[in-house]
Amino acid sequence: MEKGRIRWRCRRALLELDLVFRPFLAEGFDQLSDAELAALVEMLALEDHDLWPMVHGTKPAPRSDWQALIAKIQAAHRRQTQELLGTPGGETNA
Amino acid sequence: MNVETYTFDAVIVGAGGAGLRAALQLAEAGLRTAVLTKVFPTRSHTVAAQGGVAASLGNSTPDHWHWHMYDTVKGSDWLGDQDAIEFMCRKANEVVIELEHYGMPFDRTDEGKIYQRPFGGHSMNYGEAPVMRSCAAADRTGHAMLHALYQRNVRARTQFFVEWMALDLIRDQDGDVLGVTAMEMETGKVAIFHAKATIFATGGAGRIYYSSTNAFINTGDGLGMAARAGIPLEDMEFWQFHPTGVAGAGVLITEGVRGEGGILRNCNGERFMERYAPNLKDLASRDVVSRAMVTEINEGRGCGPNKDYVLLDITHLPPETILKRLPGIREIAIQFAGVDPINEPIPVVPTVHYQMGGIPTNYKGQVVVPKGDDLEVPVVGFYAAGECACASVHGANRLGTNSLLDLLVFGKASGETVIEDIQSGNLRLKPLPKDAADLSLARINRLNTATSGETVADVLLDMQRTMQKHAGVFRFAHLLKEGVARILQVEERVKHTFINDKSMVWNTARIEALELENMIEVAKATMISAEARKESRGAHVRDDCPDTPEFPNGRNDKEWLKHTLWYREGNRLTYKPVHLKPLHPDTQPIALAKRTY
Repeated sequence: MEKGRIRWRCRRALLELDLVFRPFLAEGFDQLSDAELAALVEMLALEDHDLWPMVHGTKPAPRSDWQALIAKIQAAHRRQTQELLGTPGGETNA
Repeated sequence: MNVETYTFDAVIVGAGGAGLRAALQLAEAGLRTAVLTKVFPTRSHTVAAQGGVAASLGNSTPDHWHWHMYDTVKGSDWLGDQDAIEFMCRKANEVVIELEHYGMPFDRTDEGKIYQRPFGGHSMNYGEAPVMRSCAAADRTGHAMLHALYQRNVRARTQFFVEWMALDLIRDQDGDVLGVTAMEMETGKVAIFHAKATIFATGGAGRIYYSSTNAFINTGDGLGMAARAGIPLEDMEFWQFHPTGVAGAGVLITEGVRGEGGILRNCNGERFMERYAPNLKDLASRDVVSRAMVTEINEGRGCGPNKDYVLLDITHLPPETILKRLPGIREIAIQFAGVDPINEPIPVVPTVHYQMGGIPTNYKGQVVVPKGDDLEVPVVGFYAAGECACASVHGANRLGTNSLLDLLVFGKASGETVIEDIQSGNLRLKPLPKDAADLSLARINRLNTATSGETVADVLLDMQRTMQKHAGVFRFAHLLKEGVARILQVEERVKHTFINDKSMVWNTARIEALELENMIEVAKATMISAEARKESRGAHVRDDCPDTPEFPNGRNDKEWLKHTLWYREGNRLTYKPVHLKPLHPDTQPIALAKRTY
């Protein structure tokens, strides 16, 4: 599947997921292997109400490859939040 | 460029609750129905709706549609049209039971009836006591609704065009609507969807604000398309805010945090609510808290390097209380504010949530515009429903659980009206004008050929900050005036955005640039309409229009009991009267009164 399509599918119905995916799209997404991309495509097919607790860490992801992806997604988001700390004006939907 | 044309009886833009409900009505009637959607239907923002759908079923407490009508008119601060509100409240039971038959897993009473819960602003016997009117499926009502409707549409053979972005409305020289142009994201190709009827169900535009609870897809595409095609936008000054969203992210912090003892503080560490609401303090109503927060920020007592938020402090609560009572909120604060609220306060700002205004429609879902002396002439072939439309049932302020009801009732009504209009011969497939796709192609061509300019992200951020500061939850005459000038400057910059990526296939940068062109129309409509309305009403609260004996709550019915219509051309404003008469002659109208709870 084209990377652009996968990138677009990280646009979600819930703001929380949009916010968490954005820094990952900016810094980790382009380095994913084909196997990781394939796992991501399957993870993105989940419903948002099932995906969010996994990404947020309140419910374990049922697959180890998803757990690894979620760790990368969370790491990117944590880095961005740290950078923005004290300047919460930095978040936009671009 | 050769532009392919698809022909349908009806084309619907948007596959959230309203779009799916409209599509179902049409497809089950045997009409060839296309639904265009930027994302897969069950990723629409309707998924985020948790509260439920209002209907006076009376399963849990006594109820009546006229009590619901009273609550809705009062909630709207009398700006809602009473014919449309009567229509919605009378239809509520029917659309909810239909949904149940489609397989919606509503919560049940012990007797097996749909369980109903109470919700803010809904009452029995005209404000006497809370009523149980909200029908819900746990906290996933919107999600369950979308699934039930989507499955039913698949069965009815609705044709979905997923990951297509509608670009522009097509009108002929009579002003009739003949369909839309749209771009397939996968290929970048532009096509024409030629149809007898076009229904917009594109949702709200909450992303025009810097702090918004809305998902990134909520860019007001339908409103931008309507505005560019010369259709006015109605009552765009009215936006519902929630007082405590995480600053910069928009994710909501529930009111329960203040209920557990959370305290709002300014940059001096002062518990400022003591000055604004000496008795209730931090537990004052949403609007009072929001106004106090904005006043603190505007007077330079905000926190952070930009002094643009205040702090919600629960550090004085025992950690075990936070862990036991507010675990979800703690996780949200860690995730989105980077603070553990056990040790540090959470940065918060009033955050936009829902758009009351939109494309003007009547209660049948027909888009109506002024023509000569008649202020509400249907635009042939054009319909709208849901958050993008203004029927107007929410007026100046929406009640919780009325938005899911709105999209069911008016999604269905717009579908029924299209069927009637086709069967009566009023709607036919008119020939397309030769220039049908020219505007869309020119917009894309500009992005493809621009060699320099500003980034979409920079202009978007300035638009969002301008809206938040100048047309936020609490409004000031001088800021609104300045805001009009600023947003017009941002508009000029939108015309000169630049994208590096010129590829055709899956070019998300181009999609975001096109979305910004829609958002700026909504932003202008909001700012200009808000600056002009010199009263406080519902969600539009001005510092210079306070509560006085002559104007209770700052509302001025003598001069401002009217709907705003903003036209893109020349940023012209006109007004039209509110429908104070219900639909049926024997229905008691809800008389004007001060809105107090």
